[in-house]
Amino acid sequence: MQLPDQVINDDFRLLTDLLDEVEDVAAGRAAIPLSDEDRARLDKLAEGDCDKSERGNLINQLVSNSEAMNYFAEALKVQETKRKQNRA
Amino acid sequence: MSTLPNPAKSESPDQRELARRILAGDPAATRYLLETIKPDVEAFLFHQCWNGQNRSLSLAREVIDDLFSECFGGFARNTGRKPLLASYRGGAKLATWLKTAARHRLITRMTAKRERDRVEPTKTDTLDDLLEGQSDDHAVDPTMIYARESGRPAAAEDDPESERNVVKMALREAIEALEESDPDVLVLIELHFLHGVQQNVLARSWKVQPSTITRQIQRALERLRVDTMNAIRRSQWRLGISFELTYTVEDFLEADCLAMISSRGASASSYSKNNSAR
Repeated sequence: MQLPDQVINDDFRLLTDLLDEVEDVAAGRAAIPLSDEDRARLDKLAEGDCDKSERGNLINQLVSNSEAMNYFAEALKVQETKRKQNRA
Repeated sequence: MSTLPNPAKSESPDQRELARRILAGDPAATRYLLETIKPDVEAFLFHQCWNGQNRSLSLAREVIDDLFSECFGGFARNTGRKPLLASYRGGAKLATWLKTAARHRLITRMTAKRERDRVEPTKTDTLDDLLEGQSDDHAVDPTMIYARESGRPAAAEDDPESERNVVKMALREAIEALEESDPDVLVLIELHFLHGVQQNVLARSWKVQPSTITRQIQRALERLRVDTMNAIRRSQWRLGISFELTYTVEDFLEADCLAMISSRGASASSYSKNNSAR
């Protein structure tokens, strides 16, 4: 018997409840507190003001530091909210 | 026996009752096990191990005979262990549960046979020789073998979800490879699917068209799928046996993949609650 070769649906649904069902498979990403300088750089990236090189450096921080990822996600949402408010 | 469940539609409570009645010596329940469930398990195992050699089928037949002997406590007299059916908790259909147990035992024996072949390759070994001294006490599941060969942590032995764990380990390997080679795409996936950031917002931050973000994410997801499936196939090749995934691939993409990516860090939802005043 072979493994199923069916085409997998690539459209992930947003499963927010998964965040509460995290299993014990953590790869050990650190949660390092951010400095003001870190936050400023991530805000700059969220605003779309980073060049490719700056973004590459910040990506490494996002991958390795969950605090950075969480902060950046919030920063993006804040930026989007501000943009919508300004447009209104 | 009119109250015995249909194996195709049965539910756990009925199945537990069936197991209880078999253990209690109910003739009708025992007949149902041997005449309905056993052929189903046999067909499953034969199909699993068929490689064009009758020898493999005879090995499967032995596994089946031992397994159903254990169901009634056939080994209990010799080992002091309780009958196999006494450990059935009704989490899955009895037939499914027995298929999983049969597959694990077959893998155990095939693995032992392979290792023997490697250590003592003699042309005079018969199947009985190869199986001599092998015990069912140390059931090896695919997770353990995969873990040993990949150098990754093993899941708990006798884990009823061992197939799922093989997939998880393969998926973890694929995610780590993606993180190594293309970390920005992994960041995009996490931001979009786990933090709910819209793709057009990501595109503005990345200074690209939204369609570029969409394509990057789709390609990465496809790569995760392919890499995961290839890792599973490699593990199956090493095992010398193919096993059927008991849950759909879509399930693992929707659940395990996102859970695994999210578990790389702290819960975003808790962060959001703590920083809502930002």
